[in-house]
Amino acid sequence: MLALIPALPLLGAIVNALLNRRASRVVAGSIASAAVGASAILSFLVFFQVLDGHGAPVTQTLWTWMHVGNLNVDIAFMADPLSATMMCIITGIGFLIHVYSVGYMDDPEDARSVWRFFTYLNLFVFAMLLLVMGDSFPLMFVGWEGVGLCSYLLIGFWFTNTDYASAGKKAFITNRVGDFSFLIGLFWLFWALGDKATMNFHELGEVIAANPGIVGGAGGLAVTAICLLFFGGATGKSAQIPLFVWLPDAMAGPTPVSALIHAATMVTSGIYMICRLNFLFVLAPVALATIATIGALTAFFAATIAITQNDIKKVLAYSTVSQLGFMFLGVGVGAFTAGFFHVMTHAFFKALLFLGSGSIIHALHHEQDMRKMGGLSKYMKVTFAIFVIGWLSIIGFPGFSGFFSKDEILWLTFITPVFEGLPLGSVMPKVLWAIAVTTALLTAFYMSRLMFMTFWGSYRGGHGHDAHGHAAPAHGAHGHDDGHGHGHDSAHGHAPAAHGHDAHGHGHAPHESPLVLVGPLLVLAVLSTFGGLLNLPHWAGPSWLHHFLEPVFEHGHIAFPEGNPLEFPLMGLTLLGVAASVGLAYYLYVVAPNKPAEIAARLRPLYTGSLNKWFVDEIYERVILTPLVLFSRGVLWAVVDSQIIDGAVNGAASAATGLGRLHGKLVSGRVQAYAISIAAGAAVIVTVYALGA
Amino acid sequence: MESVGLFPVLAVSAVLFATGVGGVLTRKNALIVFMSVELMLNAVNLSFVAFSRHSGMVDGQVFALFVMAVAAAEAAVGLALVILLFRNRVTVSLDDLDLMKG
Repeated sequence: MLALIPALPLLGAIVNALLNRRASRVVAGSIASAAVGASAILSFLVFFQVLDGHGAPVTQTLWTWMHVGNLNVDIAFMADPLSATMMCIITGIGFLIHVYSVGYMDDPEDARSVWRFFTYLNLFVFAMLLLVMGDSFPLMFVGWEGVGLCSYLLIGFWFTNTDYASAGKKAFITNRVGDFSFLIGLFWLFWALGDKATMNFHELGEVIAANPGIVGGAGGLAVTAICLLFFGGATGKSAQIPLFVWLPDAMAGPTPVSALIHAATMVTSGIYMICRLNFLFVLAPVALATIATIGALTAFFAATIAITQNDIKKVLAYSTVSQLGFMFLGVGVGAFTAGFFHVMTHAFFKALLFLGSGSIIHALHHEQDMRKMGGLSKYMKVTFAIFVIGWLSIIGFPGFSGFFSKDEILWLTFITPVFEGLPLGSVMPKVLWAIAVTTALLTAFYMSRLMFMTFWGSYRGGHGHDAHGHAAPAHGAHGHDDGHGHGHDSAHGHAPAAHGHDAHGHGHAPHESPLVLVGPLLVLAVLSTFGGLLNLPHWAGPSWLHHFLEPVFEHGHIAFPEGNPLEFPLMGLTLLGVAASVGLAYYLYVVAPNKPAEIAARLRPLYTGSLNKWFVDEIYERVILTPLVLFSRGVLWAVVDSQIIDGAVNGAASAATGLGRLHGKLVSGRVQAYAISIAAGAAVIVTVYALGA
Repeated sequence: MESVGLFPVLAVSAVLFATGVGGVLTRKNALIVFMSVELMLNAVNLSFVAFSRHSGMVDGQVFALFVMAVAAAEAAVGLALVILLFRNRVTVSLDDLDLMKG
């Protein structure tokens, strides 16, 4: 049964690929959704099976993959609490996003290629499931590369747009840099294991926990280097400094892709990997400190960019980078459960926010600039309500899912014991905490800015069609939403149809999205609201997720000190700061909408820097790309390729020609010349024999 | 009848063989080269028979018979080739036959 979970999406992908252009949007979408839906049901069954077994892993071995010396790698799946939870997130949210996509991808221009979209999406779910279910490094790595490939294919889905195509390439190549580091780490680990060679996670955990000396012992050089190399892989996949640059560009893909791959699932695989290898990382406090620092810095850095972006998806993209930084901060301070909990809640609310933004973008006909939005709460009541929930979650409003997960990370950062003994180990938790809290305030600010620019005020779109100011079409559209007869099947025609009675409508006035888009949003809204209940803090109730995951972190358990009186004051401080940030955003973007421009003018260097993403892309281009291109062109091409490689090939050819020509001189065509050679040869042989005897 | 011993026979055989080799290497007329080859073959036959007699085993004589049979067949084919050659090129001089020059 376990193997069916990844097999079904693969089957869906194959069927859609074979149907090819014959599959319409609804057919391809239904096949894809059904495949992921079925695998979601199975995932939940497995999840409850693991739950019943108190965390005992469910496994299934299909066949032996490779058997070399004393190393044996199977194609085998494992569902322990960690992967079972991930499976539910992947297939559950994946299913919602598949359904959503059926409604979203209704642009007539895509009708001929939409089968590709669903094929890739199913393939992605397959690869992601391999990544989390594989019980050994090689299988995980197949998934790891597979999701990268699907990400590339989906970012470049509209590849006729050159910018989108190169965004895909950027994502792929940046990820490859990380993968390289991951592979080196893997080889090093394998080398260190020596005759205990195993690639199975469970066995690895046992071997290393029983004999840490094999990887250099706690704090040893080998284990630190291996962990840092693995983390290097994670910075690529999970968009951390220095390899985060691809994720904001990845928004070139269709919005459901951004929600599923670039917010909810794939980008969290780095955290998953570190959680999976917790037994290794706890042995390397320096690596953990690096992870926590990079995480905190990434979170802060991305947040400072998000506050000035105008593209709604760009804001969400940088927010994703920032939230991923929070997760790394969590695992970096040894709070694996807290980090993973944030993966989960973030999957809920960020998928919600992305799909909500997709609903807006869909309604506004591919308008993503927030400066051309505004006042949408009047036109899109359901989307607005949903967005409010996502917003409250991400800023950490008490009671919503994001509050519990983020607050736990903040608190555990403050009290973490893992840096004890390191230089600056006593101040580090406090500094990281301060950075994280600042980031939380920035998060509250930029998300509120997004909300106020999009939903408050008055609609700034409409392209000079000022006459549409009459609210009639808008109300018409909304009234229509309640009855919702036409569903999604009428494809693109629904915009004019919604305001059929109003000649001025012409699709310029925003309207609520059809049920197929709103439905998945409602489910995610419920999850975002109540997801926090899965892991209540110790003062509020049972930490269910924490207990559930305990078997996974058996060898990586870190005891956090308890009973610190500062916990509530610090939480209160954070909440006050968040409230102030929201208030400030309200003042700047609703009460005094001219202020932001004034402030921007006064802080021009800062504003320009933030708006241009601190010129990271440009710096990378100058420092890495240009020298690399020059080196490749000047040395690799002109010397190595043209001279050495071509020289070797051409040299071999001319050597053969020369030898042939030389040999040709021997062939005189005169039979007696040959006979002399034979006779002379025979004479030599006879002489040698005669003398030898 | 007193046996002449192995050595004198082998000496004659060697002289015959060397004569054959000399002919093959130096004469220009294809027909004479051909005859020289026959001379070499028969030199070998002579040593076969001599060894057979010396060792008291019949194998060498059997071989000599085989060589003669093969030489006869070879003579037939060889002479046919020379005749065809002459018909086509109006010469049997080996110096003029270097079509296979590389």
